[in-house]
Amino acid sequence: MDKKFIYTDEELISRFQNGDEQAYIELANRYRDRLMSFVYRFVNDSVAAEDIVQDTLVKLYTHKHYYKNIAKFSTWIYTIAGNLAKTELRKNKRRKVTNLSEMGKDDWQYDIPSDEDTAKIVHGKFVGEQIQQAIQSLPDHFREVIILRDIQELSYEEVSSIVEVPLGTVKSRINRARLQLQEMLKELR
Amino acid sequence: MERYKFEDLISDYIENKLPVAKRKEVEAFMEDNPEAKVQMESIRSLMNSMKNLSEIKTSDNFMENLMKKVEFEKNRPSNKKNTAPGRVKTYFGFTPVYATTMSCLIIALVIIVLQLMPTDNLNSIILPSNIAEQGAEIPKPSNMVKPDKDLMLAEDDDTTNIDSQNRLINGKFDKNIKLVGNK
Repeated sequence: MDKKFIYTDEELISRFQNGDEQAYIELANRYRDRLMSFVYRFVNDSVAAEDIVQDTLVKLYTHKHYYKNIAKFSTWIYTIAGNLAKTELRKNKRRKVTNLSEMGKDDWQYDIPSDEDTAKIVHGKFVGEQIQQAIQSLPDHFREVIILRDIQELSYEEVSSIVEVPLGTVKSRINRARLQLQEMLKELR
Repeated sequence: MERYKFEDLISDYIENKLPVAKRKEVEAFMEDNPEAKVQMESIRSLMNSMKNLSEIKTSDNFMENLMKKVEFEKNRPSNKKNTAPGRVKTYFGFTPVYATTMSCLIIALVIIVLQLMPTDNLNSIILPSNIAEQGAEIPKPSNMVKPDKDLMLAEDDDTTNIDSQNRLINGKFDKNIKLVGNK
């Protein structure tokens, strides 16, 4: 096993702060897909999401000294990505070009089912698309917490740190977001 | 248990975060209300579906594009201060050494300017202690700037002006005027 994989995120950022550029590349590789999933579910546009993830990782490079070892690195990087995603959403709202149907065509292209198993996969994709659409119709403050908790599977404490909202409020928002999603998707089941 | 209270506890129930007593309360409510049980199962299923959503991956040339952006940012002068390993705090753009030197120079300059300033003007504001002893020489009215005639009309008609009788004659006070100290 390559030796670099034994480093924690915090050790890697510390090495990067001391000038180890390889540590930066390792961090970028560790987080690129995780952040992509989070941001894509948030902004619902794969091109914009990839740009935001790149901007997040560029910020990691240019602002590496802003990270202090009192918080988890993942919390810090998710906060940056979340803030950039919110800025993007605000810009989109101003431009009034929000188009819910334009959601990552590459990711949701359907193949013609050749047998029953494939049909099952397509059904899974259909469910995924319905969930994605339902998530988009949630208010921003519900959407962010539900993605972090139920899709990214972060702890309540981590979600609370990322969105900078008290733990109780986070729990309440997540519960209400689940109830709203269930209400929107009940025909699906 | 009220319906809204049950809904508040759904997430905690699914995630096993309720104390036993509360858990039993929720279960009793679901026994009495089958639609509440359906709602609970529906949310549980939704949470599982969200966990199993396919991961969205970045494109193959992601790292290549990222490194290009990083290189671009590295070469931007505004970002150089952030990437420098030993960042030094600055005051108005000066390092502490330069800021101190500049402050000392400015203070020295102010002191030198104060030393070089002429002090004659300061004496001119001291008034003579005794006007009578100095002859009370007043400049002749002819030497004074004459004000506009129209503006003077109002002053001439002013009957309340008690000083009008004591006007100056040839640049000296009238004889009737007795200055303090004249016997």
